[in-house]
Amino acid sequence: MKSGAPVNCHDFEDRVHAFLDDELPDTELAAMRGHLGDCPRCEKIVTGFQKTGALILTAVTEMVTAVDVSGIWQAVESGLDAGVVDAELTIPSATAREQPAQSHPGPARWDSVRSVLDSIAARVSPVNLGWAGAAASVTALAMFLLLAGEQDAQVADRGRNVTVARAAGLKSARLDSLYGAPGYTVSSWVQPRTKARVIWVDNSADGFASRDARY
Amino acid sequence: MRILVERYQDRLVAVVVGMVRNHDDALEVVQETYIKAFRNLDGFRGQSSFYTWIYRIAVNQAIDLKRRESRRVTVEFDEVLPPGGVDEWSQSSVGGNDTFSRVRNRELVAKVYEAMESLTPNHRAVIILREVDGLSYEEISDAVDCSLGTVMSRLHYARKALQRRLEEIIGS
Repeated sequence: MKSGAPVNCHDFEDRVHAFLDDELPDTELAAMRGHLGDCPRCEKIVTGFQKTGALILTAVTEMVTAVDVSGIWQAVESGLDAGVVDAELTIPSATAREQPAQSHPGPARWDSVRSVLDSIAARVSPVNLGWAGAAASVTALAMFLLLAGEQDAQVADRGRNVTVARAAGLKSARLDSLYGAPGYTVSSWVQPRTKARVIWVDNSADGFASRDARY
Repeated sequence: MRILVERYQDRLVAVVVGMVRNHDDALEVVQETYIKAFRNLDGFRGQSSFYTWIYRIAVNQAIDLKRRESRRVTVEFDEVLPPGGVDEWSQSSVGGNDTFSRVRNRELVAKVYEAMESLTPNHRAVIILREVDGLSYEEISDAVDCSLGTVMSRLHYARKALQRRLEEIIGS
């Protein structure tokens, strides 16, 4: 079927699922809608699938209403064998660009995170911890710092993903700066199993996305 | 971490409930999913969004659970359906549509679940991610780790199969 070309029943059936799921380009969507308006047979097909989908949603939703999710976090925390989160904050708008943490007038928890990072950095030498803002589009930075063996401190290659750094067997890494944007959340914790410290930067709008670290 | 848990827990629970059909099992799967995710954060490469990554873990956990507990073929609806809950939901969500306003009793919900149980776990995962959570084909592809073409063919098959099994309800 050519984009925007008239649609017959065969074309429609071929693409009915993409149509239902809003996965067609606008031009094809318009052609499909045009056909649907003129074809009771295809309309019946669509209605049948829509009813099926609604039944599934209804049934699952009914089950979900009976699920008490209030204890999930506690169970997860317990499962991780510790209350390991030692700092957490959401970056407020005032820190969008070039806003040093020390002078930030916001929540006290910011200082808490800063002190955690200072503490990490103090164990890794040489250190040059500085906070800097970044472009609004922001680089999310996740750093894994293995606290064991810091006497062998190395700086991970610039621009390399921290996961790669770990895979390369680095004992520790240096956190120079953190790039964040308004709405991002920064958490810090120690993984019980590996004893690795994790700095987790999370974009609340799009979910977490790790990018190349800049430091 | 708590923020991440609370942000996605409702969506994850909905997907997993659709997969395992039992709220206790669903809670267990969701909790284990988060624990597994946090213990393996270094396995997250950032090539997909966090929630599709965690969905992938959840779907796999749910499939594993169903395989382990294949003996469980019935669900105790007395425990999971609150009195009046179906009425309230169906009226608010389907706006008085006559067909779906009938989805107000446990037997009907049970029939839908029985129909879903007839699908393979992989087909069930795809249809639930689409119909319950509204994920795009690309997101589903990430979450279940298969190609877009496979997502489409599974959706096509699952919809047709469910429609056949639910024909009596849909047609009335």
